Parts: sequence; structure tokens; C-alpha cells
Amino acid sequence: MALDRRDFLTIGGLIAAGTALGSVGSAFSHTASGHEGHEAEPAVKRTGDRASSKNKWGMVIDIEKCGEGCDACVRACRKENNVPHFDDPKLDIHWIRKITFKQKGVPGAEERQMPAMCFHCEHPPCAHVCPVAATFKRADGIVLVDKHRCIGCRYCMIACPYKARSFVSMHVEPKPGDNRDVPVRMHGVVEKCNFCVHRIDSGEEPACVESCRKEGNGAMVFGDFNDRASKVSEMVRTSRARRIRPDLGCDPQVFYMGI
Amino acid sequence: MATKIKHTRIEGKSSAYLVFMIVAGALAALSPLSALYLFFEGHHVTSMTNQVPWGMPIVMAIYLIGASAGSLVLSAMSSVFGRAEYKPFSRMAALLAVLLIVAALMAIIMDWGRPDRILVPFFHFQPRSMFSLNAILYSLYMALGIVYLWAMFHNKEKLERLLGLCAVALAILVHSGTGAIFGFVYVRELYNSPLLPPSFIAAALSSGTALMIITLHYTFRFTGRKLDERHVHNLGKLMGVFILVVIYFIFIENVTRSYAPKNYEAASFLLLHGGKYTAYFWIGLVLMGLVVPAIIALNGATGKSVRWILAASWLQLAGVMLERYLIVIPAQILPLEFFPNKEITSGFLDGQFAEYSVSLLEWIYSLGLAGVVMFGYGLAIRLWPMVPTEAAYPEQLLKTN
Amino acid sequence: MLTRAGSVVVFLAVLAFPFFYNLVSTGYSSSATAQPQLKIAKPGKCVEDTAWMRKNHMKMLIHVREKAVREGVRSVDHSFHGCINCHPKREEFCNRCHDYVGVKPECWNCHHYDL
Repeated sequence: MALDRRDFLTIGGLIAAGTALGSVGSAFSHTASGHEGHEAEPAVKRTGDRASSKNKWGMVIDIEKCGEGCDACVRACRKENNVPHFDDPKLDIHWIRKITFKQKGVPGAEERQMPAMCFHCEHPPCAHVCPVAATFKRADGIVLVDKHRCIGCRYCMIACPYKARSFVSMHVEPKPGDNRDVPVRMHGVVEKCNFCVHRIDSGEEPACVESCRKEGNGAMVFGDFNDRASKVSEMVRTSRARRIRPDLGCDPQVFYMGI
Repeated sequence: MATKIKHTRIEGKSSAYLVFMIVAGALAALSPLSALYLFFEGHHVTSMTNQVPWGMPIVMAIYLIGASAGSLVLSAMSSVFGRAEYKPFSRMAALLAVLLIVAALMAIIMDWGRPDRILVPFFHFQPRSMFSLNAILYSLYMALGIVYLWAMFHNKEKLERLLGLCAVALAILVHSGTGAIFGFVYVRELYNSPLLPPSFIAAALSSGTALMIITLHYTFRFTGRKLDERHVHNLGKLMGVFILVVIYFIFIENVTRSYAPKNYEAASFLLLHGGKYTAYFWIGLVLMGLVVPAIIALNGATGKSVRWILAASWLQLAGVMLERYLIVIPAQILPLEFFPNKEITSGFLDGQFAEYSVSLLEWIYSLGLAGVVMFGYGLAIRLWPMVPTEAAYPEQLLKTN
Repeated sequence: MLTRAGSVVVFLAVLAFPFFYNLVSTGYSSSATAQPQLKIAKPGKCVEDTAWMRKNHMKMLIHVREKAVREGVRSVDHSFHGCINCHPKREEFCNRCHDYVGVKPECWNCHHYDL
């Protein structure tokens, strides 16, 4: 019997689903035995006392789980990173945002949602165009903006394919209640999601991922792609996790399942 | 070589000169004032947003760099290519080139969010960034332009020829680099094109020539010095040819882009249903900015009339300004595509056409830069012998014509 | 018209303006020349000795900053946060000298000190 394309895909999908289930099962049993039944606080273990190429931080987001109308990740990010509100949608700063998408030209097409932030590309076009290396890729793959050095030319905003960047175009006053672990901002520089680098360096996962797990639907998983045993590596290996705009070749480190 | 050309300073005692300098000075003063306001207030006072991060200042910058490169090539025509008919305004053209690059650098730097960090690019050279390369190239170019002017003043002909050659090479490099700022941006269909660097050079030459015609005409008219009309005819013809090259590049670029189905949306936005951008493109740029001036300049009857050629030059100057605008802005208006064939929306205006119209502050900013060039030019021709006492057409060329 | 010598005098006068301005605006009082007194909230031993700190704290902070931002080295003791731990009030510490010498660093525009 000749397999046609559809059969082939179905079988492939079943196998993939099977392995995924198996691995999720083993992951659960692992945490259960390790932490006596409590859901483990996923520790982010970095190698050594500095950013190292032994780690490669990234994220896998399961869109099937991402809840409609849930904005736990966005709120957590704003709180953690003191992201201000300007009450002007054109100028507002967005480190993470919820995107709604549906099939084009299909009446009544189902609307779905996903969070999008900086994807921390392997080949970041923003860092390539930055004239002063204010935007750079750290050894562990996190793409950062050094606001001490940024000259505010905004070339990176032109070059970013994912619209991950915002320009601070208005004065922002520090206010009581700001998160004091994270600096506020001066106008005139570009900023973006940094995977909550201060949290990663102290062994915590990014604020959005934490709140997604605690308040949201657990759609976001953060981890180390260099660690083959990490949950994100497993998810990317065993499921159809995809990148956004792979054709551009920037190789984002944020993967989506269920697009 | 042609007969020796004598340059003298202008007297600068006429009321016309005084009025010109007051107007130019007032405009020039707007430039630092608007920049300071922008620096202390932040970019929310302009129309530049997170959707359209580059606005009029960048349009002005590439326009001024273009005109500068064009002027410098014209200036070097006599010393490098031995064309005696360009000798009379060689100094004026080099002066314009220097002033225009200064204004262009002002346009770029004052638009930064942090212009106080002006020296940072020189301490952190990034060979992969076109901006970083250009920072070096522009500075070199400005310095070379000044030395080249100096060599001309001191009648060091060998040095002048050598520097002129370097200046032409650098002008081409500088403006290719400027085109590459946009051409290398592979994520936006309306930017990404290997044709942008050469197309920028063509537009630089045409706009530089147009600016030269205008400067020559008014300088000689207001100083009461004699300008042989054949200079204007000759430059007009040159401009006409350059405009044809610009038309060719724009045609090829758009046809190539429109061919690929993945670019249908981007190409049709610019060419068919982009609202004001489509109107600017067809009526403003193609018709009034390119085709009409080319016809005027190359037509036998109008090409021999100073008035017609002047009109064509003004049209061409405005046309190239519009061309720069249409390079910088529409690519940012088009939404970035996340998924092919999917509609997306978000609180960050994803998937929507952005809006941009030049704000008052950006107009003031741009006028200020024009003022800087005008004021600098007026001052320089008063301080140094830039303008020839008489611009005769070299006789030995007449026999061949 | 100004003579050449006259224009040099005018130029020098303009150049020296900040000097005279400060002389007049501060009234040349003795308080302006007195050493600023720092208030140390948690007296004890600093990570480096005082003379070294007075001279080099800015270089140290920039060095630690580059390490922290670019390499992710987050050791506290020589960092900005280390300073804040012992000197929690900017008014009583940094500002004393910085106002005195008229140097305005940008640190506090973004980094919380005291609110």
C-alpha cells in the first residue's frame, strides 16, 4: 500500500504526539520524585558566575494553552520592568504584547492569541545594524540594549522584523512602587524585552513566564536549549514547535506550538 | 587649459545681501533651537512614533548628503576629468559640498535621542553596521572636502587633481553607503534592494546639478557678475541625462519588486493604492519631479532658455526630496508581516498601516538645515574668493560644439 | 569695526565667561571653598580606602557596569548597588561632592536611589 501525503503526516503526527506525551509524563514523574509532589519552581541554572555560551536561553509558547483575554504575562512584565503608560498607542512602550491572529480572507475564521516579545535571535538584525554595539548578544544568547551607550538613532527599530523595540519618546518620572531591582528610563533611547535578565542572573525565570504559570494557563515555558534534558529542548525536539518568519534566517529563540 | 579664472570675494554691501543673510541666519538659528527642544522634550513632539521611527530628519539627511556628493563630483569635473567648462564654478561646488555634508551630519545627529553621545560611534566601531561605517566615511569626506577647497585656493594643481580624484571616489562611496543603510534592511520589502546604492548616486548627481544651476544663476544675478548662458544650458543638459538615469533605476527597482508575488502587497501599496503615497509617487515624483524637468532640459527650445532650465531645476530639487521621502517613509507605513496569509492585530498596532505626516517641528527642523546651508554659503562667498568675476564659456569648446 | 587685537580681547572675555559667572553667582563665599562633609549612614569599612575611592569611584562604577551589562557578572560589593547599601541617601552622600564640583552624572536618571 502506498502512503499518500496525508497518511504520512497523520502517522508522523501520532508518533510525535506519542513521544511528546511520553516525555511530558517522564518530566512529571521527575518533578514529582524530586520535589515531593509540589509543582517545582523551575530554577534557571546558569553555568558559572557570568553569562556563558554553555547556556542558550529560550522559550517555547504553546498557543493552544494561551487563554483568550488573559494578559497575565503583559501585566507581570509591566510591573517587573517598570514599563510606563503614555496613553498614546503610537508612543506606548511594549516589551511584550498579545497578538490576535486569524486566517486572511476566510469569513468567520477562528481568532487566536499569542504573546510576542523580543525573540532573542541567534542572528539579531538589530545588533548587526547598531552603530555602537549598544544592542548586542550576550554569550548566553540574550539580546540586550545597553542603555548607557545607546545613541537613540533607531536604526534597530527599522531592522527588527518582529517590532520588538520601542523608543522612549517622553520623559518618565520614577515613582514610588517601582520595582527597584530594575532601573527606570530616560527618554531618547531604545528598549525592549531582555528576558528579565536580572532574574535569569539570579536564577529565576522571566516574570511573564512565572505569571503565565501562576495566574495564566501555563502556556509559556522558559529554559536552556543547550541542556538536552530541559523542558524547552524536549518540547522543541518532540513537537512541531515553530519560529516566526523562519524565512528571514534570524533564528529566533522563541518557539511557538500550535500555529 | 582655458584662460586663467579670477575669483574675488563679493562686496556684500547690497541690501539684497543683507536681507538674504538675515533670512538665512534666522532660519539657521531655528536648527539648533528645534534640536534642543527635541532633545529636552523627547520625540513625542514630532510625528515619529514606534511605528515610524524615522521621519523628516532622515529624509533631509539623505537628501543633503546626495546634493553634497553631486556637488563634489561636479566640482571635480574640471580638475579630474579635464573638462574646462566646469572650471569657473569648481570652488563654489566644493563649498556647497562641504556645507551640505555639515548640514546632513547635523540632520542625523540632532535627530538622535541622545545627541550628547556624539562621540560614542567613534569609540565603538562596528564594521557590520552601515551607520557606523558611514560615521567614518562622512567625517573623512567632510575633512577631504575642506582640504580640497584649500588646495584650490592655493592653486596647487597637482594636489587638487589628486584630492579631486579621492573626493569623487569618496563621494561615490559615501552615497553608496547612504543607499545601503536602506538597501541592506532585508526585513522590509520596500527597502531591501541592491539597486538603492547606485540609484542614490544617480539622484545625487541630478539633484546636485540642479542645485548648482540654481546657485550659479542667483549668485551671478545678485552680484551683477556675468555668467555665460551656455554654462546653464550645459548643466541643464547634464541634469537631463542624470534624470534619465534616475528614471531608469526607479523603473527597474519597482518592476523587479512587483514581479515576485510575495511583494505584491508592498509594491501595490506604493504604486497603486497607497493613498497619498501613490499620489506623491506618480504625480509628484515621476511626473513633476522627473519626466517634466527631463523634457524641459533635453528639449531643444526649452533647453536653451535659462528660465525654463531654472524651473526644471527647482522641479528636480523638489522631486528628489520627494524621492527620498518615498524611500524612507512608505516602507515604515507598511505593517511588518508576522505570518503569511494571516491577519494580525494587537495593542501595539501590529498588522495595521501606520500613519505619518510631517509635524510642525520637523518642518522647522528641515527649514533650519536649509538655513544653515544658505547662511554658510552667504558668509563664505563674503569671506573668501569663491565666485569668479566672470564665468565665460571656454572658447575652444565652442568650436567643437 | 574691531581691530584684530580688540577681537582677541572680546574672544577671551567670552571664553572666560563661566569663570566670572561662577565668581559672581556664588559670591565667592568661603562656604564654596569649604570641603563638603559627607554623612556616612553605616560607618564601617568601605570596599576600598577613601582616598582611592574619591579618585577612582567613577572608573570603578563604569568598569563594574560594563561587566554586569555585557558579561552578566553580578557581584554586588563594587557595584552601584553596593554603594547604595551603605550610603542609602543620595542627598547626604553623592550630591554633597557632586554639587560642590558641579559634575552631574547620569546614574540617578534611571537607577533608583532614594525615593
